[in-house]
Amino acid sequence: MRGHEIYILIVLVLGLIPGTGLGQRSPGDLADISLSELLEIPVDSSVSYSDGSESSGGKATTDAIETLDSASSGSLWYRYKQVRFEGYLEGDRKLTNAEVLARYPVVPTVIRQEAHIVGLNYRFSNLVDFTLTLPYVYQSTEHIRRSGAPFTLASEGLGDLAVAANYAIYKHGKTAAILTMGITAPTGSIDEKGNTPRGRDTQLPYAMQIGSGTWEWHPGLTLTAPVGEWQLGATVDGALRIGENDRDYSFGDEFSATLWANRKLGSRLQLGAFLRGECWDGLDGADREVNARIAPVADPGTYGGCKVGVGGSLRYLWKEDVYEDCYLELGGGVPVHQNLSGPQPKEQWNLSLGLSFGF
Amino acid sequence: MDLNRHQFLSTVSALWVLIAGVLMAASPANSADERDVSAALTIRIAKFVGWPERATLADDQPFFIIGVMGGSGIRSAFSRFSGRFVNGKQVKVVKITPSTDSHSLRRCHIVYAESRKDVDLIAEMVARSEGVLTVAGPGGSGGGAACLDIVQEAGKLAFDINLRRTRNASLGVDAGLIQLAHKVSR
Repeated sequence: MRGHEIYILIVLVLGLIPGTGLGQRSPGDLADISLSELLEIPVDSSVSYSDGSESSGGKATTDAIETLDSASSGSLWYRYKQVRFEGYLEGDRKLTNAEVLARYPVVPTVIRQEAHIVGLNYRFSNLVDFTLTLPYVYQSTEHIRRSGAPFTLASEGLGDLAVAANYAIYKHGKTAAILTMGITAPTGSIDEKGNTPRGRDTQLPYAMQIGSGTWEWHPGLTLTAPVGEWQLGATVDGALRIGENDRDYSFGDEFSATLWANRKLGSRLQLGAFLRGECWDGLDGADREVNARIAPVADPGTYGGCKVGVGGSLRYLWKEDVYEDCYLELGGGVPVHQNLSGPQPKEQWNLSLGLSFGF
Repeated sequence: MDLNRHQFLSTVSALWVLIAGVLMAASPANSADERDVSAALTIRIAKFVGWPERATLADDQPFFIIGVMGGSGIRSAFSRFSGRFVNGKQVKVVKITPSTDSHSLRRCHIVYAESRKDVDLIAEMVARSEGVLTVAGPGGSGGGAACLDIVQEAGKLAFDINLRRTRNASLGVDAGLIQLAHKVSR
């Protein structure tokens, strides 16, 4: 082969190698060059960015990288809750204690219900989490009677164990639709007894029992979305009793709807507010050991009703960043309207204090 | 026309070189993929940014975590940097989806979003979060929602810095980076 033929061959071979001599860099090289050099590299912009869809560049796809997991795998929390009942309503009409005493020989005047609730929340994924709660309930009721001295009854013990699964059927950033399905096991006592005017160790009325005695379904749906600085939400949920308990009664089904809103105040504080409406059916059946005519709370006909309440909360995030579930929260609410069956004690206020540890 | 062997080969080779030159000049092979350069730029920029002390998961401590929201192309571009070191930590690239918990995003040092819709979503999710550098890729820049917008100018990439957003995220920005920025919002 002559010299000029070798030269021509070299030119042809070089011409077959795309990019030779044009200084193109491989993607791996880009990591090793300076910022100012990167800013001088001509780029191919024939890339489609429509919602993250693939580009025309034919880049090899890779989904080898993992999806960011939930930072917190769960939280352990405690909540103290107190509700105070005082005064009576029949429908939305107020009744004095004297009016109630004219119908029943014994009348509870002040009912205080307290619960120490321990809960465990476990995040299975970004879309699913489970909650387990167990309350310890304490109740005390002050009574007056037509004849005889006032007296106080109290009961306490572990309440009903509840388990719930929350599944985000739609989630896009802070906009979500979350379906809840919970079940409550009748672990709380319905055999609480006390010393009443009827005698020692007599069966206490329904409201003074620690548990419901029945299994319950707790379905719920929450819709939430951000609006400016606020996170707004609406929740509907209920408690559906399954059958009757061993004492031949069951509390009525409950339905509630809550509109809520919260927003951050700075980096550590969160303000919350809610408007909640709830209705519950009357008691179904009766405990044969409870005399319905002795007191309004012993009368199965005085257990249904509806109420609307407002409230708020202030949450302090004592550990920010990835453990958002580390907080201390103070909350409370008052009913603004109540419509109750029979002479029924009306709620005055409720308050709660919560503490949560994320992990 | 009667060409001898030598003249024929010379003519063919000259035409070949001419055609190849025209094709290469017209093709994008002369330039780099925008996503590769965007990813490299983001990694380089990270070396000019100071992150605040913050609570981290024990498992995350050795890592410099980059969350990427976008198509597999941009994820692939970033994944090439996995295992390299930024600010003494090993780069770990993770995928972010719209269903990622907003507080989980705080695991990330950088959150990169490819499209405008993704940038707006990310900005909403990490609002008021300290220590997260939000970066909008060329397809999502311009909305002012991110700390840093990568933009294309005359066929090359440049970047805009929003210093108000970096301050809100408690991030420190080196003066040298500000000098190289295309636009600086204060």
